[in-house]
Parts: sequence; structure tokens; C-alpha cells
Amino acid sequence: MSADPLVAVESLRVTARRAGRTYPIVEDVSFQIEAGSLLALVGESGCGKSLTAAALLGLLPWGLAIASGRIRLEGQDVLALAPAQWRRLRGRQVGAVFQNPLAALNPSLPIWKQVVESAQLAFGLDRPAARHRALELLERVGVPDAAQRLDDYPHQFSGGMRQRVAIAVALACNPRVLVADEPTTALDLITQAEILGLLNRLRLEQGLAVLFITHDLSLVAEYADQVLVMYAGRVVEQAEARRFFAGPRHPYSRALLGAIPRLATPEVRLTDIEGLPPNPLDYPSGCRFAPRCPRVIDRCRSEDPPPVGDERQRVFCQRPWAAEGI
Amino acid sequence: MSEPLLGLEALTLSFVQGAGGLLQRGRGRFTAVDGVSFGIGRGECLGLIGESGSGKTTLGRAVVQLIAPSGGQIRFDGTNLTALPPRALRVYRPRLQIVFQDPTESMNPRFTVEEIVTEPLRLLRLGARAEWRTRALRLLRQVGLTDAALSRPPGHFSGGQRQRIAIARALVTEPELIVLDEPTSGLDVSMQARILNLLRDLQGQFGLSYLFISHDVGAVSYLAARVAVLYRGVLVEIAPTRELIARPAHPYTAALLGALPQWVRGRDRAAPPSGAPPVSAAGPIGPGCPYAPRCPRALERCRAQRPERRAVGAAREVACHNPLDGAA
Amino acid sequence: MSEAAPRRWGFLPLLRWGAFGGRWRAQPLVASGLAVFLVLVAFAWLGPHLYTISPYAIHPHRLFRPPSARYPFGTDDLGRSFLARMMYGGQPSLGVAIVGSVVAMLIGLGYGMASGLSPPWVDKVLMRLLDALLALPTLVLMIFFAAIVPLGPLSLIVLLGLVSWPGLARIVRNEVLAYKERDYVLAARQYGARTAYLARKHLLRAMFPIVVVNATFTVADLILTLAGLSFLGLGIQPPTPSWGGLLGNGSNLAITGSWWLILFPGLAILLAILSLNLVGQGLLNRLEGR
Repeated sequence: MSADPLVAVESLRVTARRAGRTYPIVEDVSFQIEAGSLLALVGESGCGKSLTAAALLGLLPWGLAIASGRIRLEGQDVLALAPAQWRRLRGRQVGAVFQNPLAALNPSLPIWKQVVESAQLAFGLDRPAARHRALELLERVGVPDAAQRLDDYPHQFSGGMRQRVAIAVALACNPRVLVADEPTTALDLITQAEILGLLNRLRLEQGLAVLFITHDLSLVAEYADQVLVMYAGRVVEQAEARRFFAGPRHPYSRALLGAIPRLATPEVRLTDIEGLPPNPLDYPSGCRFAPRCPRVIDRCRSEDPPPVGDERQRVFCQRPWAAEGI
Repeated sequence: MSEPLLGLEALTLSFVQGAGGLLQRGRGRFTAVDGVSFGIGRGECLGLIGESGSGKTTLGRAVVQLIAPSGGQIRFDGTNLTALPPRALRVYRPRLQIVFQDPTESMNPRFTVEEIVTEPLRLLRLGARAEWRTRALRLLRQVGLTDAALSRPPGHFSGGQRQRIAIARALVTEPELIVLDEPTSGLDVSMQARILNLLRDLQGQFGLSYLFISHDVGAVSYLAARVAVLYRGVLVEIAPTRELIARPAHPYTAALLGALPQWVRGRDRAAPPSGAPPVSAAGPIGPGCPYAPRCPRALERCRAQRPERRAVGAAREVACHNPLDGAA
Repeated sequence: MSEAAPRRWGFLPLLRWGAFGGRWRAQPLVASGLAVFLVLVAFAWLGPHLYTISPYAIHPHRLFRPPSARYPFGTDDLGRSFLARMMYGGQPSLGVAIVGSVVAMLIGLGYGMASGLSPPWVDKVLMRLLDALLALPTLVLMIFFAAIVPLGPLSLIVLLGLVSWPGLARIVRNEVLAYKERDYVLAARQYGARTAYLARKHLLRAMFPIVVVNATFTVADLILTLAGLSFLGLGIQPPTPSWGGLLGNGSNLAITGSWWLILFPGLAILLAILSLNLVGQGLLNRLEGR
């Protein structure tokens, strides 16, 4: 490893306060993302994946706070910074794209103003320079006829185009890190493929470190360098993507992957996961997946699952599946 | 072959565009579904694939008689439903059911689950009142919910559980055909899998016919033996699922399959088609093929003349002037 | 047969707090507002049973007495117990406003639902008519009616009810239009539900919270309107007391320095309006928070 990774999250713990008690919502999440690489953070709704991203973006909702852990951007411990400093650093270094581009864009401003708004704040561009920058960004994200569309409003764009504009907004300050939280969930299949391709191209061309959050493992099989699977606020498996897709070791990872229909094998029954994820205010002791796990043993319910495997594929489980040889 | 259970013949659904004022004449009409024909046999599941705005939801609602067609026929078990007066239609309503996309939207939040599931019986005056509750209970168990669910409001359940309640409601009238309008979108992957498995089990158990509407090609391939592809209201291709996946004939079908994540598509399948530029806005449909503006294989003829649907091979049809090889 | 009975009273769950999705304890705003308002209601209707001095008994030798143990609220220009007059005065002030608001809600709900469920052209005509009605200011309308109809509690209820429904009618109509396209209403239509069924089973329940919120604000409005009318001498006619009338009378006598004749009716009106607005706002927050 030549230098510090662009993003390093160490033992992140996010807690919620409710009626005088604190509840852990995200526990002991650690990962690193190098320049030009993509980490997929995967899990079902409520597993804490979006809150992990929100912590990184400094956008935790009211009532939630980072209780412990460290977040480093290019080696700098951002939680040790003064809030204003962190805000400025975040604005320039971290871009974000969310699920609903319409909610991310102001309906009453022409898009060029929105695309360069953050850059204007950061670098103080004048109007011609700002328009030029907006054009450059929109072309980079593949908006056709960008020069003619600078003065259009968000509602004049299709869903996929809006998401492209939202990506342009995120890239305005030349960030080195991009957080994409379910950026294609609201899009049609072909558009989804286009946006995924665009994100992939951008990270390769510009050396962006991408944190890609999704509930659908199939989306990231082609692009991810690392996969991190979360369940009920904890990491259950963390691995190099190649190894992960060759053979996930945690029963939950397996179930998630087995729940996706594949064209070649319609006769293979999809994996059923019985039950529901636990309530964050009332997590079970031991392994949190134990109540739904097909491989559960008594020890799972009493002891926290130990880490198994090495850096290239680590799984937190009493009875993981065997590693596939790669 | 005898007549299928459900048959659409040149079904057209169009609407007056814009907010209707007192003077509605002279306004443009928007055609959501344009001359669609297909049949669904007893016990068959037909998948209907389309992007948002393709008219697939409108079509599904027309099949269950929520929208009156502007042209064509909807035949069910040999009867043209579109010609029936409302009173006569009531006989057919229990036999045709629908599961809506969003289970939160499709149930009155102030009803209990019992009221929701038995509402069709109440409205259609089916069965004895005393049996309603037992029928509801039986179905709730069938879809994997406990008896305690009966007296609770839908707000107490997760999205996946609510969709199962919606399925129980659709089953309560013992239908022969159920329109499934994107029943799994908006759910987490694991919930999607459970709903798909449940639908597959129920189909086998009751010999149900499905019209499975979805934008999710993977889900459709899991349930449907045959697939119809809808693009901007026009049925561009219909074929047995295996053939369609192996050798798409219409360029749009090929683009859809190519856009699937590799994990779903499989490594050996066709790579994504290159060169199709993103279309910035959907303009009005010209006289030609609706897909022509985006189509990498478009010919001069495609823009001028709407391609007729024609048979290629035994059980498949495609509406294209320049279909991909292999199918022809 | 006994099984069928609960069905007929199926609207009863409407009255559950559950329509607002919570418990009373979780709503300090609503609970405190409601408590204050209930105290005022108890003051007006239960008070006279505990404090039995007549509000009409004139005592020429006890004029303008400030509050004391025997007359906690003092006496007025005719030596009548002001506490008794305040209690009796609360009955028409609150009663007329509450019943008038119920009348307005019923008309508004009916008109709004009818408009929303009618064919578009009927809806359009009904809404234009509503615009015309909304353009007329309530107070001016009341003054006009007051000039041609003999004023009493009953006629005031009818008049206030008749002038204060259009706002709700518009809200209900818009909500009905939105709800009509909800999937669950479509689902019911698919099972062959007729308009009357949709209105009764689905839409009425959905409208309930909006109507309750609106009713709360309307009662507050009507208390103020009524006080305004009485102040102008157009409301409840003397010698029957009403808070507005008492306040009007008190301010005419301000020159005598009898502060209690202004303070108590003013305070009562203020508390009534404030408490109802608290309740309404609390319920509204709850509705919109969902």
C-alpha cells in the first residue's frame, strides 16, 4: 500500500437516542476504499447501510450520532476536525448521489445553476466560468445536447437524465470520493445499466473511490472490487468481490444471492428467508441472523459470532460455509 | 387449440390529454396501449415486460375492467367483457382479480386485515357471511400469515407481508386469472424471492392463470412460460420465455436483456448492444416503429411504416422490419 | 343476527383516536388544549349547579362591586353576579359555536363529497358556486342575515352553520379527488363497488381526521364571530348573557374602572380560542407528520 487509502472507516458505531436510552444502529463497521475502486455496501432496508453512508457524509438524521470510531479522508481524521472544517472538506472531497434524483434537484432552478452551485461556493466562479463548468460537467455525465439544455428545469428531463444531472452535481467540486445510495433503484432497466456504466467509467477515468449502496447484489457483481454485507447493523461478511461471488460464506450472504432470479436457471427455487429482520430497538443476543438462519446452532444465540477467514474474505459466523478455492 | 381463458384482440386504450375542461373538444388524445393482442391459457403465466410509461399498468387495469377500452376486445372464457353491461360484468369480476404494485396504497389503512380480505366477498355478495372469516383465515395461513393478523390494520405489517395480504385478498373470490401488477417492485430482494415463490406455489396449487406485469426481466423469467414485450403501448415481441432469452428477435428485447446485470443474464449471453444513445426525451410517436428513434438497427422504412406483427418460428411473433438473426 | 350488529355500526371506529395514529398521552399539545376547553365547558354547564346565584337577579345597592368572596367575579352595572353571568354566558357562546360548527361540517362534508364524486362537469359547476360563496365575508353576511331574521340561539346556529362550511367543502372535495385514484379505491371498484359504497366505507373514513381538525378550528372561529356579533349588538340579545355581549357591555363601561367586566369575558374567549387552536394544530401536526 503506497499511501493512505482515500476513505478509511474504522470501527464506526452509530447510536440512536430514544426515551433516554441509546440503541446501537450501526456497530463496528470498518472498511477502506482505494482511489479508483468500488466498495459495495449491501443489505436489506433497515440494516444500517444508508446510515453508514450518512455518517460518512455528515448527514445523520436528528437523534442519531457517531458514538465511536474514526473516519479518515486521505488520512485525515475528519471527526477530530471542527464541524465547519469538516463541512468544507466534505463539500470538496465527497460527492453524493441518492435514489430519487427529483428530490435531490430544486424544481425551480435551471439545472446549470444547480450543477455548479457547490463549485461556485467553493471556488467563487463568475457567471461565464460557471456556465462553462456546468456544460463540461453535463457533457462528462453524458447528457445529450448539453449546451442547449443548460437552462432547462429538472422536470424537463427523464428519470435517467435527472440522475445524470444529479451525478454532475455530485462531481462539481472534483471530489475524490463518491457515495451512491441506491442510485438506480427508481430507474428502468436500460437506464439503470447506463447509469451503472457511467458511474463505473467515471471512477476508472477519474480515480474516484466509490461507496455503492444497494440491496441488490446482482447489480454490483460486475463492478465491485469489494463487497460488504450488513445485517441488522453489523457486518456479516466482507470480501473481495471475486471471492464473494465465487462463494459467499455467510448463510445470509448466500440467501441474498440465492434470492435473485437468474435467466439460465428458472427451475431453481429462489432462496426463502423466513421471518423478518429484527427491530433495531430490540436486537437479539448473539448472532442477529440466528432466528432466521438455516444453519443455526445453540451457540449462535448466546455468543457473538467470531470473525472467520482472512482479509480477503472475512465472515462473522459460528458455522460459515467453506471457502471456495480461488 | 381452443380459445384461451383470456384473449385481448387489438386492445387500444387512449385518453384525452391534459386536464379536461368544460370544453374538451379539440384536445389531443394520448394512446397508452395501441392494438395489443395476446392470449393466456388456463393455468398459464404470461409475463408482460415494459419500462415505465410503456402502458403495462394501464393494460392490466383494463383487463380487470377498471378502464374502458377505446377499441378492441377483452374476451374472458369466450365472452367479450367490453360489450357487457355493468350488471352482467359482476358475474365475471370474481373470476378476474388484480394485485396492485404498492400494497400500502392498495389497502385502506383504516380497515382491518379481515375487512380488507373479505371486502370482495361483501361487495360481490359471495358465499355466506358466516364463512367469510374462515375463508379469510384459510387464505392468510396459505400466504404465510398467522391468525392474529386478522384483527390488525395493514400498517402493522411489513411491505412483504402486506403484499401477501393483497394476494390473499385476490384469492378470496377463487379467481381463475390474476393480474399481478409489479407485485415485487419496491420490496427488498429477499422479500421479492418469497413473493415469487409464493406466487409460483399458488399457481401450481390452484391452477391459476397469471398476467404477470413487471419491468424485472429476471422475475418474469422465473414465473412466466411466455413473455410479451411492450414498448410505448405497442407489443413488439411475444415468445416462449426460453426462446426469447436465448434469441431475442426484436432489437428492444435484445437491449433489455443486454441491460440486465451479468449475474442475472449469465456470462455467455449477448453483450449489451453498443451505440444506442440515451434518448433525452420521449417525443411523439411518428408513423413508424415506436422504437425506431432509439434502435441501432433502424432502417429508413422503420421510421415511415409501422411494422406488422408476424410469426417467426412456431410460437413467437415479432413486430420489426429488421429483426435480429437467429430468430428469423 | 347478533353477528350482523357490529357491521351496521361500522362507522363507530371513526370515533377512535386511532384515526390520528396515536395515543392521547403522546400528544401534550392536544391533551392540554382539550383540558382547558373542557374546563370552560364545565364552567358553563356544571358551574351554575354549584354556584346557584341567578344571573338575572338585580341588586340596585350592589352595583360595580369588585371581585369578593361572595361575588368572585364582582357585579355588573345592575348589581348582578358577574360569575353567574359568565357561567350562563358561556352556554350560548360555546354551545352555538359547537353546534353551528357541527352543522357546517355536515354541510361541508356532504357538499365536498358530492362534488368530488360527481362527473367532472357537475364538480366544476359546484366548485364555481363555492368560489362565489367563499368570496363573501362571513361577518358581513351575518350582519345582513341578522337584519332580516329574529336572533336567537337556534337561528344563530343555522346562520353560522350556513356561512362557515365552504372552506371544508373545498378541502373535502380535493381529498376525495385524491383518494378516488388510490389503489384501494380502485380495488374496491374492481370488486364492483358502487359510488355510494365507496363514499360510505372508504372515503368517509378517510375524511374523518380532516373534518375533526377543521371542526376544531371552526368552533374557535365561530366563538370569535359570535363574540364579534354580540359586541356589535347583533348576537345573543340581552338580558341573556353571552361572553361577547358581556365583553361589549364591559368595554362600554370601561370608564367606571370596572376592570373585571372586561378581563373575565375577554379571558374566557381568549382561552376558548387558544385551547381549540392548540387541539387543532396538534391534530394537524399529527396528520401531516404521517
